Amino acid sequence: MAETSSSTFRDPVVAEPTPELLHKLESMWSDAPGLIGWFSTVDHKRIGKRYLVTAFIFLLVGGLEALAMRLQLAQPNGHILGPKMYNEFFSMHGMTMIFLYALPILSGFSNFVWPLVLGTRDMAFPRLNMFTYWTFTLAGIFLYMGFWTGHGTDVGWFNYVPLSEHAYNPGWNIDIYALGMIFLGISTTAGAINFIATMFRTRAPGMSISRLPIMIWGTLVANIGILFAVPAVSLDFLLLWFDRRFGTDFFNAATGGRPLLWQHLFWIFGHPWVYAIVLPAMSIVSQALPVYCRRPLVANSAVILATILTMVLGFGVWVHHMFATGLPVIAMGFFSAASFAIVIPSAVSVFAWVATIWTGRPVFTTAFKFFAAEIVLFVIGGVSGFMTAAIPLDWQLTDTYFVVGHIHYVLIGINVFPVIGGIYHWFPKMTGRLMSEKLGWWNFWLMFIGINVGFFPMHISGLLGMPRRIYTYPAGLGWGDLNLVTTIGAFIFALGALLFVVNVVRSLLAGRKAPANPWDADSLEWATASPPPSYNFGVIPSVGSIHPLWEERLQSDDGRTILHEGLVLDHHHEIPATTPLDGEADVILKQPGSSFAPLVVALLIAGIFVGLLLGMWWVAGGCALALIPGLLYWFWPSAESGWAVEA
Amino acid sequence: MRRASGIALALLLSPLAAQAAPMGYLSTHGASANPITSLGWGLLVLSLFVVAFISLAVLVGIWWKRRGPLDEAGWPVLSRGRNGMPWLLVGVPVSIVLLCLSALWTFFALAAVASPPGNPPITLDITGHQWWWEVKYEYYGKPELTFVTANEIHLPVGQPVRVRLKTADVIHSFWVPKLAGKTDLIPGQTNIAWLEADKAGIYRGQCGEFCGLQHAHMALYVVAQPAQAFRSWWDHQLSLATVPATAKALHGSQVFQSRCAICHTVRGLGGSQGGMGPDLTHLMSRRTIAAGTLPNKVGYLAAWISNAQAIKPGAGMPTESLSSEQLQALLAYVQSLH
Amino acid sequence: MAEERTLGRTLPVGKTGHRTPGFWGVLALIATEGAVFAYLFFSYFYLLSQSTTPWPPSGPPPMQYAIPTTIALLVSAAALWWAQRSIRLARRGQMMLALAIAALLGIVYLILQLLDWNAEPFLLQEGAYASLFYTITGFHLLHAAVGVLILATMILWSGLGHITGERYIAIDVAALYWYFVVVVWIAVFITFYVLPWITPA
Repeated sequence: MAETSSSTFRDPVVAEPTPELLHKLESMWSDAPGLIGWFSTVDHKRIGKRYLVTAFIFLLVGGLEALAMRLQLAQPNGHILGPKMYNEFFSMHGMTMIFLYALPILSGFSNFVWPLVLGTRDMAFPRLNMFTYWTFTLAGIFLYMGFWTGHGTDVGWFNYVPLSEHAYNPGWNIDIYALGMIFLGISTTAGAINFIATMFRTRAPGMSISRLPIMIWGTLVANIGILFAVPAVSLDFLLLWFDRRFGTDFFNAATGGRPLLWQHLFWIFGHPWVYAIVLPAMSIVSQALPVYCRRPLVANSAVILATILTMVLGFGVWVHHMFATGLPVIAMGFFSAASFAIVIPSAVSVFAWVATIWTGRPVFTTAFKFFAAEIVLFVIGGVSGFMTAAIPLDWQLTDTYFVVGHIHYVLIGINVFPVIGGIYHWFPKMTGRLMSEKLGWWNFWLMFIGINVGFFPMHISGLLGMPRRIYTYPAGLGWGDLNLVTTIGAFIFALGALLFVVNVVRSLLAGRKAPANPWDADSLEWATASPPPSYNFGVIPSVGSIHPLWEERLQSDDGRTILHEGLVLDHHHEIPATTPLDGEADVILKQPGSSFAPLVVALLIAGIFVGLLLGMWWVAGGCALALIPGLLYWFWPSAESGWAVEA
Repeated sequence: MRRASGIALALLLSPLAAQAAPMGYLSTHGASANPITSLGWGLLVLSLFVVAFISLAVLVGIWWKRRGPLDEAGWPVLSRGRNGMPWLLVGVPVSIVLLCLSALWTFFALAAVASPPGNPPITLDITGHQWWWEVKYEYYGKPELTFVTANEIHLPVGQPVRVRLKTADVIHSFWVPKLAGKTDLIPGQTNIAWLEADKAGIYRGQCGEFCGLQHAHMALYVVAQPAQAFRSWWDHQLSLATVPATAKALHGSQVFQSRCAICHTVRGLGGSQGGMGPDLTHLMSRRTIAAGTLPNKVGYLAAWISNAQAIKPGAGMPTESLSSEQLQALLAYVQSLH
Repeated sequence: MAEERTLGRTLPVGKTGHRTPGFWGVLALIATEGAVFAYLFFSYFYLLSQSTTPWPPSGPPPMQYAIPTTIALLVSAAALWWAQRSIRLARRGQMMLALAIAALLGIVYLILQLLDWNAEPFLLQEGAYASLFYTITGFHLLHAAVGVLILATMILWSGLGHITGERYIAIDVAALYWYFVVVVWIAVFITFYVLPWITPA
């Protein structure tokens, strides 16, 4: 054969997957056993599952913090937590849920599902993928470092200056938060780059942009948004840390700085971030809800456009978090109008989902229940957000429990519900076992009743004037009973979450074995075994339509997908690269295999941040210098990864 | 049982409960808030209608039985489905129309409350402190009519009052929900708001932006009075503190001078110009102490003076070790500050 | 065994041309780094717009280092362009020379910037303008230092024979990054060194 792995060009073999081929691929793609494999793996499926488990642990920790706060607020004049501890709890709760749970859990889904949905064997940058997991986990540990020793951040996840400046908050807590957020930003940004390159370059041949499953769109758009949003907050925290550590004057009004600069940069990031943590979850619903309605999604293209429009508008609404700061009325009018306009793309998605249910024939699985409930919760969270877009009304609503109710309907309704539904949906693919539908019934109803009993009354206590972030409140203001109801609801919700954990563990141990496609779904991940082999696909599929596994039965007028034969690509870790729009194979990529480099580099970066935190400049400098050989080791050219090596 | 009925009332009859809640802003009492309240009700009703409609649509969509063939696995046969586009073609344009109407209403409400009618003669200079409110009254900027008080604002009914907002430390937000929405107090800038009460009464306010440890205990009260009563209140506030009439109170004033005056001002008492804490010249004319935290009664005053940190941990008021004789004298003195 | 079929098209294998995901990765990286600088400039102009005191407080900064810096960086960009051209013509020695010139000019910039800091009449802690000046120029300096290290790596890899007339994507990726550094410098130069002379305080 004329092919050798060092040759620059090749006409790749197309064949059916033979047992010999599968055996060969398995030996190439599988990790070393034991701890070595655990630490050096770059398998997107393992990384995805690890992300899911880690993010879920953070959800549980953040949930426990919330329950403690709910006990405190159940009655007027509560004194279970002191003011210092309460402030740490609500700050850590917000930080944990928004940064350490909401996006990482979606990254987990995307990591696991993307290469499978795209019909390929790995992400564009497998080692970078592992690096993002390590940095996420290390940043999470870093951010929690102070909490256990009484130095948790205590001025809220929004961390307004000057309260977070050294003059008012001289401890470690804000330094940990500031540096931890910059550290976490590295992980988030690296992940975004990976998803973007993966989407544009490493799809199965034939998967043109018009055949891209909708789930990909949500994550893609969110990650493009992240690319432009995260720098704002990383910079914000960096400037704050400079102010605190070196006495710069970015936010100090007395020396030419401005406290509102913090708020501008924070919300330029903050609002797009909300879309970054709901758009991928909404696209999970758009992807999986139709499966249980036994028909394709209504108005697929309109929903994609709505997704893009939401993200674009999301960059133009940050000032609606600052309506009470005394900005000029004309400027606020623009941002108010932009905020109202976001309702339009949201309406597109909602009506598309409702229409899909109406014109389909729903199957009442647990996953379906979570997705259908998401529609209602989304609308409740949406209209309360719409109310806060009205400038003068926001002057009353802002910083009351009305807004607390709003964000919890948004974050639980549009993130947690699709995520739990998504786990029920993809659990068989991830583990090879089905989750219990019986426990699922209880799980769903406890969570659905819990969120509504817990969070709906918050809107009312907000309308009755209860401010956010107060550790206690006097009797006689009409808030007590509502808060008791909220606390009861929170515990019902927690019980539902607990039942979910029980279901996961039980199903993992003793769930029914899952076939390749238990839900008769349409996308490519269901074309391979449950769980998929290390190489995902024996031969690379050739995609002919947006619903590869449904196209025959739907008599699709697009092309036909070929699964029984395809590109073999068995010279090493090979995957095809395809053109960004048409999805035609144009390169054979040689992907790197398992490596310790991501872990080493992540640890060195963690070392830099620990050094900066403690003011041990030699530690930070030493780790930064060590990064040079570390990165050289990572990127060192090898023939295996497709470099030329001259003799 | 009473609790259960209370909960039912709060949930089912929340509009009624809003009337009973001192800080509820679904019923307001001032020209600076009323246009917002109408807008609030309008958007709330619209929102509830949208939620009800979509919830109903989802429920009916789920439970409405659709017969049809099943496949081998017992699932409904996969199909392209009926045309779902009418949902979007009707739903989205209707949403857009409702949106535009809401935006229009918003801008009218904004115009109505953006600035006070005319040029109000009275200006309140409010400075936020961790965790209390310093209030300076001005009448056309005349120095002889200017005085300083704290944590309790009096207003003449039916007259707009300008409010200038500054902060001595971190960001706070001035908020008296029955009278107006929030405006932040931000270092390095002065924000302007205004208040107008159309009904005599006492209205509770509270800091609306998280400002640290005791954010929860940074309340204030607004007392709206008929013009006559307001005038006499103003005149009284302008006066200096009277010399204590009893020996005990006189001794108390000495304790005050040595222990309290470094932070607190009592106009008329020598050596007492401290600005760290509230002006106490007419302390007993106020309804609460410690920024709305405690009722202004002698027992609470004693508790506050002797152990403020137990009541409001972190507050600027230190725990003073006073002998019981000193405490009694001090109490006698501050109670003379009418 | 069935008759062996192929795709019927010859595809390049491994890291070749702009089709490599790495090229897309660097484009995305530049987008996000560009956003960092955009937000830095946003902070600069925001604080400038809010300033009630003369800006810059001690008059426009000295030009004696900024102008040579600008020339050095522009020439280094030209040198890199020459390097890209050379490797496409498979002239590896010529490319290494061009890379070395670019890297040296980068080092010249780093030294000039440090001299410029030394000549400034204010310290980091002396007001918002000073904080912005050192942070933005320092952030750029850091990017340029990383760029010099990348160029040095390219020289090393070329010397070891990893970069050939067929596989030169690493050079393109490095050049792309360096062009970004130069473009950002132009923005820094205009903001800090040109505008204060044109717009009276």
